[in-house]
Amino acid sequence: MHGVYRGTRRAPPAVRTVADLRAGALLAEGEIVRVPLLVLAIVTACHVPSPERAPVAGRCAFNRIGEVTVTGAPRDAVPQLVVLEGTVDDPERTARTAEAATAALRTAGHAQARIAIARRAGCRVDLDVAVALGPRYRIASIAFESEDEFPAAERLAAIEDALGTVNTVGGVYVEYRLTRALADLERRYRDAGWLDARLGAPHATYDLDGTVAIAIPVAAGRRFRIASVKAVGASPFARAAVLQTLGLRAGDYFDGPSIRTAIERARHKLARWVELRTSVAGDRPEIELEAIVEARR
Amino acid sequence: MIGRTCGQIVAAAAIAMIACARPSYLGAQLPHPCLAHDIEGCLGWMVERDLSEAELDLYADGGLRDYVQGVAERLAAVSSLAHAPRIVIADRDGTYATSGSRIVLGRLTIERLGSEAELAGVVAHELAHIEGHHAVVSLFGPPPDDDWLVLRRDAEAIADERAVALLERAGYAPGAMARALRAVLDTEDDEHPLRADRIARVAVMARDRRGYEGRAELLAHLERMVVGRDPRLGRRVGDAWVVAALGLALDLGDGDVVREADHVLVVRRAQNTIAAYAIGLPWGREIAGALDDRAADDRGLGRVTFGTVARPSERDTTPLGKLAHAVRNSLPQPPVGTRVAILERARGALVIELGGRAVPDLGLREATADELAAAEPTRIVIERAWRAGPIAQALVCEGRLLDDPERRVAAGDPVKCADRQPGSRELSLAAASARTP
Repeated sequence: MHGVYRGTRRAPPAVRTVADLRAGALLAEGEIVRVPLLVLAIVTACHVPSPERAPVAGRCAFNRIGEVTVTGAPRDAVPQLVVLEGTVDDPERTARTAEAATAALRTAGHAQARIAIARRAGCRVDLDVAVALGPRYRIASIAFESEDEFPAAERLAAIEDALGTVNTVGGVYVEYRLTRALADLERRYRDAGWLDARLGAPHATYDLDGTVAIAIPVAAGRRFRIASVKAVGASPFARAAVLQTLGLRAGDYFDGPSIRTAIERARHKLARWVELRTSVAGDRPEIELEAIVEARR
Repeated sequence: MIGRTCGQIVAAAAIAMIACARPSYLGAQLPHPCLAHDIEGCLGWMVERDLSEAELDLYADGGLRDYVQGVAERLAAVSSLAHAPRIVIADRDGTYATSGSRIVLGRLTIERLGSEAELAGVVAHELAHIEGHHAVVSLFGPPPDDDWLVLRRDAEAIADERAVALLERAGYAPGAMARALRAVLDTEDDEHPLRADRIARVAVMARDRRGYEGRAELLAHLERMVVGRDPRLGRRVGDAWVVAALGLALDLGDGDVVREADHVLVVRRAQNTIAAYAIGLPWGREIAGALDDRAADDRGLGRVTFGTVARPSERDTTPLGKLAHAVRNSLPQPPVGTRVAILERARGALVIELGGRAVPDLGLREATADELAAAEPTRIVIERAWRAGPIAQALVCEGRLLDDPERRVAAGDPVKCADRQPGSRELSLAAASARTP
């Protein structure tokens, strides 16, 4: 949530007035939007029947959206709005749909995309959709701000999304998906022994050349090793068998997936319930493992 | 010179083979969309492959599929889509638009419809989701929250209303949309507007506008279609659990405690619990190939692999690997740590989850002809009304009536019936049980 547009923070709201678009030079002066009002502001106008558009019955039981005209982008850039043709006119719903369409454009890399909708209301309501796409940003670099030893390629692969089109160098930046991927990556850091790892919110810097640089702060902390592996409960013979089957050794880095696999292997191979208790060994970056072995019933 | 040329050819062939060694999914090479960063196309292909090769849930009736595809093409021609979505008929209830411009239409949904216009209404609703890229919003959108739910409900209402518009443009009776919703909606949830509101809204939109109904056309294509749950994936026949799709029977003993849920059999036998269900062969082989402590043999019925379901040791972190992992998670499979036996047959695999310490005698054998006959599904037959009026008064069906009893028909009109009465299957099962040694 720290996107910076070279001096201005964050992208503007999704749906803007036509005046805003002109002020931001995103809509040319010559471009015509017939009713330059905010969508939400025009709620009641739709109930005024337009003589030339009124249905044959002569009364409007309800209003339907007639034509959706798109300017500034191809029609298929805003399918969410085009599909409104023929549906019931509901200005609030149209505004929400416009926000969803804007979000979709931003997900496709148009980080400054804006949509303005003007309505020509009668029994049939036509929508004029003015789209200002803005530049399509591509990720130029992704930097993890850390000196830790977590494999760099694995880290980048963990955040790459959508078959290599999102959150990867050359792809588009989608903040919420990166945030979700970083939460998963933080878990993997901990699984790999960095038990105190914290991954901060990504920082995006947009450049005028249509690129975006992503920086991800990482506070990895110390990497923990296994201090000792002990077994308690059941018979000495059973404890020895469990320790041998676990195959965990003091001195190795703490590795969550390996430990879980070892526990499952011991449970199945020895047909005993085995539970593992972990505790941090004092102020050292070490973990003590204690296998609790159930006596056979 | 010749030797050098041959060497170059061999090297080129080797390079070409390596280049052609595409990654695969459920026994098939990944198609172009998966290799060309087209996530929607790739996911749509995977969904279809899951249905046929993992879940055994593809309803394979080419004639019916082509017919529905034709309806989709008529609707697509008046929509904003350049091409009609691909229609896939699933052997279950529920209909949805999925990635890669595909519409998965449930057979049990089709069964409830009374005309081609109603079918077109259901297809048009899903087509509208594809037009509006709504599936993308739900699949790849932010985590669900209240705002997401509002957008979901908007998308559903828009799809209903757009469907009415598409029906009108394609020449279908727009009033069929309300009838279709009435026929297929039976539950309420947070992601859809209220059923009554949906029906009322599209009914008002359609008003008295007329159009093509195509009742006889739909019914002609439904003749012999399976009705209800298909028992060939698992049904109790006398003292056996019969999986007719695989030609297998599992004998049940007097001391067994048996529970059936959909197509899964759960048996408590002595101190052990067994769960058995059929899956697709490629998926069965994939599960068998990843078992820990694996042991395989051929017991006459087919190759059986015993082992313990392992935790995926290495996570494939490639974008394709992540997608395949996410899709695979939704497939039927035994939980990690479960001891299983997987029996491979020609048309699928039987997964048997073995709970408890001992491996009990499973009592598996080839199903008899009588058992296979008893597990045959009920099918649709089209009868003719012998007089005009509500169908309920026409008494045309020898089996169960599958049409709306209040629907008015003319004499000679087609009526949808089941090919047997409720209870007749139980009689045939009892007969099969009496014949089973």
